[in-house]
Amino acid sequence: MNGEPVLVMLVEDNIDHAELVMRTLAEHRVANRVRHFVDGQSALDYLYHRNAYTDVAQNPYPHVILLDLRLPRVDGLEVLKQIKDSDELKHIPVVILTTSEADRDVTRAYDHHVNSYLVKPVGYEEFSELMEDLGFYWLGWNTNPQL
Amino acid sequence: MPDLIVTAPATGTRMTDEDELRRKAMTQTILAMMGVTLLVFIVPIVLGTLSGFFDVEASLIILLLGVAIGASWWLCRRGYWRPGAYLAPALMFILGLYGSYFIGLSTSFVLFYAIALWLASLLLGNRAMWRLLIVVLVVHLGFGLVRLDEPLGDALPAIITFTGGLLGLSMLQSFASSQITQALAQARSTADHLRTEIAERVRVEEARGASEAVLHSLVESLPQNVFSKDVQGHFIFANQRYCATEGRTVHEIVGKTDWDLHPPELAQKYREDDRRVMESGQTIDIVEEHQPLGKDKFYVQVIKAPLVDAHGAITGTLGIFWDITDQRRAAQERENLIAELQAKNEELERFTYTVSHDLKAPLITIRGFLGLLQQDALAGEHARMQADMQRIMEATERMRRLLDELLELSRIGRIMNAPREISFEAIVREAVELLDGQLKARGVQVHIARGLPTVYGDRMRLVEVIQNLVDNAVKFMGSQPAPRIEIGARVSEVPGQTVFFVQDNGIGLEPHSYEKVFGLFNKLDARSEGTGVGLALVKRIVEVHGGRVWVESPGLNGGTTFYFTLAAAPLHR
Repeated sequence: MNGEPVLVMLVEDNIDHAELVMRTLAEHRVANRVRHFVDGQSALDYLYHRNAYTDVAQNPYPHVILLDLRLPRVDGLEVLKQIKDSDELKHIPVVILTTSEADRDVTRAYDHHVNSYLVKPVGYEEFSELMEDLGFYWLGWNTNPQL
Repeated sequence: MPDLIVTAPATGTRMTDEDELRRKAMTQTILAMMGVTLLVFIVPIVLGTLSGFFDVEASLIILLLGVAIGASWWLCRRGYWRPGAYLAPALMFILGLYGSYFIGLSTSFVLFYAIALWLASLLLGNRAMWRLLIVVLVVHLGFGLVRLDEPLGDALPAIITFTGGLLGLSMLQSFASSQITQALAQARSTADHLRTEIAERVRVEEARGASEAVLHSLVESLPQNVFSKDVQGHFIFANQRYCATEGRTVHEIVGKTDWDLHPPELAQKYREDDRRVMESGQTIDIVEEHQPLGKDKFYVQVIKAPLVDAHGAITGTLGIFWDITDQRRAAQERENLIAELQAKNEELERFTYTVSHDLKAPLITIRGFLGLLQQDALAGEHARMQADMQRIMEATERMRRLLDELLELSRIGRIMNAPREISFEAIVREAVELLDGQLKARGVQVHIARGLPTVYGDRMRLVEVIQNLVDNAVKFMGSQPAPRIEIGARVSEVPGQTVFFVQDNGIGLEPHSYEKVFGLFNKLDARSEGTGVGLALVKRIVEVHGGRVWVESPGLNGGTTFYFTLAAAPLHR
């Protein structure tokens, strides 16, 4: 963390879960900034600087994307696919954060080159711990390409 | 092979009945002839006796002779032919002897010896003839020697001639008689043989006739259709079942071709199969369609074989077929059921997955915010505590609703009110009334088409369908300044069904969401109210009613139209 603001993109349709993620992340001082999107379409708009997000300076690429699978309008898997198919976006680490433990979902996520797949734990302690580790791993230990 | 009935040929001395009959007839005839001959002489003898030309003794002897002949003839008629058979040659012998004795050895009376020998051979057989010859020779030559009044040397030629003549005659007679006997025996044996053979042949024919009758009645009473055709494709046989299938009598089928009985394309196919069978000599077993002219099509299993004659030549085709429409239908139904079951299984799998996922979500919220609540309590953040508790409350409330709606969804199809014919307009009016508050709050205008048809189904459930669709339309009106919902119907391509629609001028849908909207807990907008069960419920109810539901939209902000089909009368499934 070289002093530059660390940006986490959170794509989550469940407002409560989003709040939970943001508060636990803040608690562990993982990220300076979290941008929350409730559906896949607006997340993609942001990443491609479309519609309300045309200002590139105001809407920088995130350091990591936390993506739910079941999303309204454009679902998580489609968002993942579009990110990994794009030359501009594919280097951004995408972490699936979902309630689903179904093999089918896990397999399909990895088929689309997801960087990590996490299942939301039931229980505050575990949830909080996961967010802390997640922050340390992706925003601390992990080295991202300099573009 | 039945035993041959062979009559033993006449051998040795054993006389057959036929032989006996023949001899009896001959004896009778000869006796009659002798009697008639005697009668011819009766008048001159009587006259001769009266005039004193014949002495009385002679006349009496002749009379006695007549009586003997008559008696023998009568006995012969009664079946006792042997006395006559002995009498006739004996008389001739006596006549010969008489002449020889009184007139001399060289008299023409010796002719009677010849007749006697001939009769003996004819009536008593060759052995009797030879015995008689010996007697004749001995007696005659004895007489000759006794009465020899000329030198032996002079009489010798006459004796030799006499002896040789009779011997030759006897040999000829014996030869002729044996020839005749042989010929007769042969003829009889041939006749016997022929008779046996004819009897056998008749028996075989009868047996063949009987076995053919068995085969015929077997083929006729078979539940399968059986027919045969010649090389050119003309029918040469059709059993009763086949006649019934074709709806024609056997006379209307035999001699006809497939073109006379079936549609041209089928006739063409049958003819090609026939050719294939005749060319290869192989039996074929196929499943195909069959259709007699003027009747419905049905599926049959066919076995077609070449018709082979006694010399191994193929003379046509033989066909057996039976209706397998029911089997095919059963197989088809089974396949449909399996497919349906598989679809249901997949649906159930999706359902379980969705339920576990969506029930877990509020749990994570509750546990998560309980943790945060604790943190806030320790930090003394009372304002945030209030908000945290609110979230927990809402999560439990959402969970309760999810469970309620799941229960509701599971009830559809399982618990139903008795279906009946209902006016669709009444259903729509009831649903719209229930949503009156919501509609007024958003200022939505609802337009219900006139002349809506009646439908067949569960009234309460159908009200739910409209209620959910209208509720959904209101929810997704967006910022539409003049929200409007139109409910109507149009004719379906499927007969007996009507397509109903609920159209709005709200935010619309993109094509990739058409299927998704009906998925359980699928919400297109995270901020929208509801649990995502409504449209899944609509789909379930319509499907339970045997209908189909789909959605169309010209795109974002173009409004949305939900369509579904319902039957006007009970479905025959």
